Amino acid sequence: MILKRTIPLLIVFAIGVLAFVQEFVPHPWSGKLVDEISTWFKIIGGFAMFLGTYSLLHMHLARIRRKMPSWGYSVFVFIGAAFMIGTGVYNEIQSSSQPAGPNSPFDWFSWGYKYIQVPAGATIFSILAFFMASAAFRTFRARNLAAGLLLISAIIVMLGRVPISEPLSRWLFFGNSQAITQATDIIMEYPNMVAKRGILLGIALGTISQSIRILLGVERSYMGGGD
Amino acid sequence: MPVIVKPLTTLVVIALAATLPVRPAAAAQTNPTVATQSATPGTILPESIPATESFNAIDLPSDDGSSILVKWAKPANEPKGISYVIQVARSKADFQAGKFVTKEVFPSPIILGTTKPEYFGRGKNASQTCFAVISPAELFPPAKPGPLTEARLKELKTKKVLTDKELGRALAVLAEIEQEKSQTKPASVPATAQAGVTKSQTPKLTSKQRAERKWYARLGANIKKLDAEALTKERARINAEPSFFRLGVKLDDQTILVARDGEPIVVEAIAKPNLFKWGKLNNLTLSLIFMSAVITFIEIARRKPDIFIRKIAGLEAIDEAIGRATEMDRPVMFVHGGGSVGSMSVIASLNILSHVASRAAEHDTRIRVMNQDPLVTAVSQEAVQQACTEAGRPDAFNADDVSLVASDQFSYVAAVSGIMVREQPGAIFMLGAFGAESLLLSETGSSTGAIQVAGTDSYTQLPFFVTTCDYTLMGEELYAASAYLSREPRMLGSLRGQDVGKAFVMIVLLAGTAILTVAAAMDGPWQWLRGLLEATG
Repeated sequence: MILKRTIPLLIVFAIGVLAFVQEFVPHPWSGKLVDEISTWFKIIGGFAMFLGTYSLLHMHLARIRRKMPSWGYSVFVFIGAAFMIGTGVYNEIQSSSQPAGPNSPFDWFSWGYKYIQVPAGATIFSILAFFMASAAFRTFRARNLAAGLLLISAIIVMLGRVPISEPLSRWLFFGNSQAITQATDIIMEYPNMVAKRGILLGIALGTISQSIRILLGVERSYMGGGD
Repeated sequence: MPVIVKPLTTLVVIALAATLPVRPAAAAQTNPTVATQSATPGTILPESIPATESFNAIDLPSDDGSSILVKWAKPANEPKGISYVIQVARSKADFQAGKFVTKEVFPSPIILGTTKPEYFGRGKNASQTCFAVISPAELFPPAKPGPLTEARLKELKTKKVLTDKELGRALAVLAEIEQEKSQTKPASVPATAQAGVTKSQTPKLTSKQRAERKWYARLGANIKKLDAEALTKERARINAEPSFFRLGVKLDDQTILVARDGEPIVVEAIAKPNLFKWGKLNNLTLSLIFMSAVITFIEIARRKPDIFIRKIAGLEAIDEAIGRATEMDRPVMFVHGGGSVGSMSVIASLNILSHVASRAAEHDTRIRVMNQDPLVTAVSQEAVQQACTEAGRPDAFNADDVSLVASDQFSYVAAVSGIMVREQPGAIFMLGAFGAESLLLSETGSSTGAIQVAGTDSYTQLPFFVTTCDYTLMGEELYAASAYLSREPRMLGSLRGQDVGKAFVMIVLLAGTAILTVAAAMDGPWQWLRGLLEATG
């Protein structure tokens, strides 16, 4: 119990209080302390990376071994991992024996990142545009008064952000080309800002409350169970 | 707050360095508070010179001891094109020898004290005070150590950084590298020819040579680190020594120094590390007030456990969602998002994970936790395993179900979306820190027909969750979840303390709005209300 609960809670309390205090102390010692703690954090993170990699590979190995549905995708995990680890290690050996130059061997590691990883990520990100359209369609159905208000606000804000707003505004509002843009600004600066700040205030107070619970050991469920 | 100021009124005028010959300007002739450095008589009027007694230098408050604050009163007349020059020297004698550094500051609202209320308050004086922050170590930087040469290596040996054996090894590798460099062709050789020649000339290294090169690279890195530490110490030493300042006004090619009886005034200050950031006093005070409120209510809750907390629909729905997944014989999916273990929202989500895992284990329902951060993975595994054990179902824990999915944002989205589509979970919990992945994941989850409960403190992502999920925990509701679910009196007490803090903030906001509205509507005697909110000292 001491090893599993008491010591971790004491560490949490001590580090939590130190982190709080150093926020208000500009002395270089305070900065050194933060540097030291972040070094420890990096070391722990390094070990955790090994655990994470093991966890990932173990999960996919189990999928392949049990021939679970779509297990073929898991094979690509191993191919990708082997390719990137292999080329990364090869690069490291090469760079230590000879400096980069016109005669350097082809960098497969960077090639893999630049021409596979980055385009694949961009592809996933681009899907967001379609999802946004479908989500907007669902949201902007005026089923009740609140949804109706949301619909009207959204139309104004969307129009205010595109070039067509100026001629449209001139036509609708007797020559005033900035009417829709001004309405957009009012919506963004007042109702939108009020809601945003309300949420932010709640988050700030919630953070303090949760931090106190954790520092005092009242909240322990992040350590597993123990509600 | 240490203030070290020594206006030196009896100094001999430095008339100016050889490069800046003195010519008494018209203004200087009529005003005993100025000394002039100029090539030609200028048009700086006496009222354009800052008042003598206002020129001052002090240690910059609330800093780490790296800067000095130089301040002076804004002159009555600031003609167009005028600028202030601050001359900084390491000793008074250096001014005479012309060994000083000049920093030029142009008049603008940025150099007025109103931009730094933590130093100058919000009174009227702030708008009439100009300032500049000077870091002596930046103006007089310490010499940077050079590259690793034979001489440098021998010097390091003398300083006992290297042993005899290490010096021998390092010199051998250095000689090899120098030899290789001398063999390479000069840059004037055509690129194509150079590539061809270099290929044939690049020596093949033996395994021993490679090992030595690696050792030498590590040695270089260590020495670089030591050099950086030495530079930091040297900068601190320079800052801790007295610095001397003179102030002048410059217009075109004429510079007039602030002087008394014709002698330029020299002020002196030392940069010292401070122990408190006074600019954050209000943050500290409010934090302590809120902390006291939370701790008080935790204590009250311990004595009187019956505390009413309003219903939070998203948290009420957790059991319903797990029950539905159980009935449908489908897994429950828990998505942490992209935060690290230091993120408050991730810590809050880990608290909820314990509860969800416990309920899932009781219902004999499989739970899959999708992680993007290795540390969050490790903590999640521990939390789920512990929850399963406490629920009396240690066998329900499967480490492969709580795994790292991908550490890159969009790889994570692709992997989690794929798992959602393949495994068709009955309930999806998306709780934690989310960025652009929020809508991608929640739309995919929505297409599977699962009950979705989402929660994050990233307010830019909340609209996406509200749109696509059945229940959304907004900001503080996510943090309150653990207390709400556990119903433990002390945790509920902390929520009550949080609500009291919120009520306090609301009252302050309303009162502040009312005071400023009244002050704005009624001129004259009511203006003190405005000052009440603005004055901080």
